Amino acid sequence: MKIKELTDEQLMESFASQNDEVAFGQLYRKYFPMMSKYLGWQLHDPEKGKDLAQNIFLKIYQKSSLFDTSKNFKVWLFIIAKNQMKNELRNEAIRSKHLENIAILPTNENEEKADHTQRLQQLKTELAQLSENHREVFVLKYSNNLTLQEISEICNCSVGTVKSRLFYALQKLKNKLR
Amino acid sequence: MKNLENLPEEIFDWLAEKTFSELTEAQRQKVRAYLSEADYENYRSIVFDFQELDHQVTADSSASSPPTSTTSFLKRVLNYPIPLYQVAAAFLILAMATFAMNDFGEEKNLPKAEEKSGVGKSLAKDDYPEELVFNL
Repeated sequence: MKIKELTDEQLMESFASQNDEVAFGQLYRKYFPMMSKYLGWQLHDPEKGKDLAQNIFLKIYQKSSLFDTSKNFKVWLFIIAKNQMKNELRNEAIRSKHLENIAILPTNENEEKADHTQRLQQLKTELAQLSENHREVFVLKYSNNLTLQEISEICNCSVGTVKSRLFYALQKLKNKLR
Repeated sequence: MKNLENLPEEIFDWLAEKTFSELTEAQRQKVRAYLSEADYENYRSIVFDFQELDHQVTADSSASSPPTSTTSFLKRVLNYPIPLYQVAAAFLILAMATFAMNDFGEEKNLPKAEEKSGVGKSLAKDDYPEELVFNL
């Protein structure tokens, strides 16, 4: 069976049992960008997101035996990422400085583009102002394209709660961006 | 408005994919049961803008190299915690070894013994003892 035809769980099992670094590399290339973005949005800093994502993969590399092959790899990975992120967020300096880390997008030449740029900037600011729970479901849905079921497992809540949080996030952003 | 927890999952999916006018009639009816067209368009606009922002981050999030046995090993070696007393002991041993080497390295001037024995030296003919000379 070609490596590209293997499921994530099969790839991880191959790495854990046979130290198959090609399989691990496949998982890394698939999920590193996703991890970086998720963590970047939650930590309000894309570079911190990348660093933490790299550390998470290093830990998985060193402790591959911890993965239960009967579970969904993607959900397992995001749960690890979420726990690691919470450790990072305990640092008060990050919480207090998150607004400073929001980069100012460059202004464009004509007025229409400038308005759009300003709207994007405002969206970025308002997203950072959402609570962690609301921002998390929004990012997992619209950045990482997870299903509501997957999000509910990661957030350890019901699918109904995920829907409520997602709708609340949309509503709040809509009200702020009028 | 109906209970949000009953909101069909596909409506959240459509917000990321289609404007209201791009929905089929059946899909529009489903949306109208929960949201007004204006609200749908507002939410759709937010998701669309967020995806644009997210795409900018994606461009910058190209994967680094995955961990390998080498990087893993190097990282473990470099991050290996060494107790302070071991560091101090290593310095002390190094200092003592340096002093010891300096001590043995000095050149010592040993006194030269006087040469008393004449073995190996050639004698001039005039100095040969007479009783030992035979003229054949």
